[in-house]
Amino acid sequence: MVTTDEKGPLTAKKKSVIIRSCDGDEFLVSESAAVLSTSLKKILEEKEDRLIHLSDIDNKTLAMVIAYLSTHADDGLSDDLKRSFDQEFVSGKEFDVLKYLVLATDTLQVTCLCYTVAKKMADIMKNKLVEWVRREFDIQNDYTPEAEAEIRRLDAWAWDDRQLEDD
Amino acid sequence: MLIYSSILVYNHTFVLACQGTITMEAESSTVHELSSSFPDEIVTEILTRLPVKSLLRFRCVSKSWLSLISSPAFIKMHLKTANNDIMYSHHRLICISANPHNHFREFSLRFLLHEAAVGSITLNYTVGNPDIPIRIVGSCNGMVCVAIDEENLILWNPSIRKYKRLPFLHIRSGSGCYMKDGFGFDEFNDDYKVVAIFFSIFQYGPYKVLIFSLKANKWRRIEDFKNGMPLDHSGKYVNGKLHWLVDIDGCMDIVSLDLASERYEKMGVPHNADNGFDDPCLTLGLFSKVSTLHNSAFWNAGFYPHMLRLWLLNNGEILLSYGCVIVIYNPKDNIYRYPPIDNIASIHQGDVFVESLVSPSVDDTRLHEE
Repeated sequence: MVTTDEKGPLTAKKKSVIIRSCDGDEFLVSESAAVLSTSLKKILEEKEDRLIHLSDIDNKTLAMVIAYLSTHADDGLSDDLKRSFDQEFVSGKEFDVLKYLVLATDTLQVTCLCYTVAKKMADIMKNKLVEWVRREFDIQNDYTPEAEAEIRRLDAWAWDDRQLEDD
Repeated sequence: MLIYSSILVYNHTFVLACQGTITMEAESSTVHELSSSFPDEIVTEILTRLPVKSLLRFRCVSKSWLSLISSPAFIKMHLKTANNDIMYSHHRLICISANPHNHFREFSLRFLLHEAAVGSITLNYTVGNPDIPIRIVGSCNGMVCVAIDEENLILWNPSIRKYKRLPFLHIRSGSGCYMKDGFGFDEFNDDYKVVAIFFSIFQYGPYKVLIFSLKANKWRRIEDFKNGMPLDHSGKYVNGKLHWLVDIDGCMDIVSLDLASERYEKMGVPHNADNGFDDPCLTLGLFSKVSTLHNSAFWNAGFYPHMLRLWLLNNGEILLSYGCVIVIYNPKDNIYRYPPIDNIASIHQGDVFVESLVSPSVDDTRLHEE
């Protein structure tokens, strides 16, 4: 059961919406935060319903996205504070967590969060082995061993001088 | 060591007029999906934020990654993301170093500005004989133009270690003829261009001008340079135009050459530049949004005159390369500081370039899918 806090008749009523994750958890979100997502904004413009069900975002990921949206909707925070929040937000997060996050930003169309997460994923990826990348992105290697060796030979200097990581 | 007499900074309306943008073509040719668990747009967003070196390796991930990373649309998008990165993660300072003799060194601009220990890379590019003079003509959109022995011009992308020798110009140096040059990007035609102005000590203008287009891969003659005599060795590139400080019958002016329309224009001098114009050792430095005229005491000292380069940093500071000096200048407090470069005295003539995959060869298609 979710309740919205009613203000007095003279205060403008702060509108909220309820967003439900694919595993059934419900989150109360201010409309000002929700509309930072282009998809949610469209839904809210089209229907009066205050309950939005997201069939492909789990509760943990949704909680993170909502924390992000609420912070960015807070007019009391300076841009500098929001920027440092963004840095904190992605720091220390596992690649797996970031994968779900970036997919959620795609579904919800939250461009600035998508860029922040993509940057962090790139930072993690940059020193990884090709095999690691194939695993994480679920990619089949469609090269013949000869063709792959040929590409590696072309810019051999890009491979030799750093320790590439596989975990 | 720093004995600059003045730096004049003023708002210049013409440089505000056009902010270059790169139009993105839609990604259309991808046949296979890039990942079975991610939409292609997401994979592209992540890959545009990777360093060039990682991207060169990740061409091995799959054929569809190879074709994405090699596609002109992706290369442009990657360049644009790198250019816009406010942390300067993909920006490099490239310098000519006297130690080792006449070699290029590069530094991460990000580390340099944040006073972290700066490791440098000595680029494995040599011109054969280290006694042959080298000079950086300019840097723009991921590409660096270098003059070797004042005769051979080279377009070079240090981040992918590829270069291209421009067709040879017969300058007949030693017979009173010499060349002034400039390098920039023509956004309208999506083309890198090099300009060569030919001088003779026996003649005071107009001067013959050739322009090299990377797309056409050839030099072509354009309208002569009639507006006085350019003083700087290399024109300074800002927003689609090259600019030279010129001497017209003893008066200074700034003349620009639009790389798209190939038209010259007199820009006029800065209104507050009066006190600098009596000095015979004036050189022009330009950056986006603001123009600077720099009056230096180094000219007579025999250092490298007319080689001022500067970049406006997003914290308001200016990175300055002048002769054999690289400093960071804060115009608000009028303070100079040295970047934390080891062996800084051996560094001269720096320029900033951004890491990119752009290739100086026009027909570099051999890596595309068979």
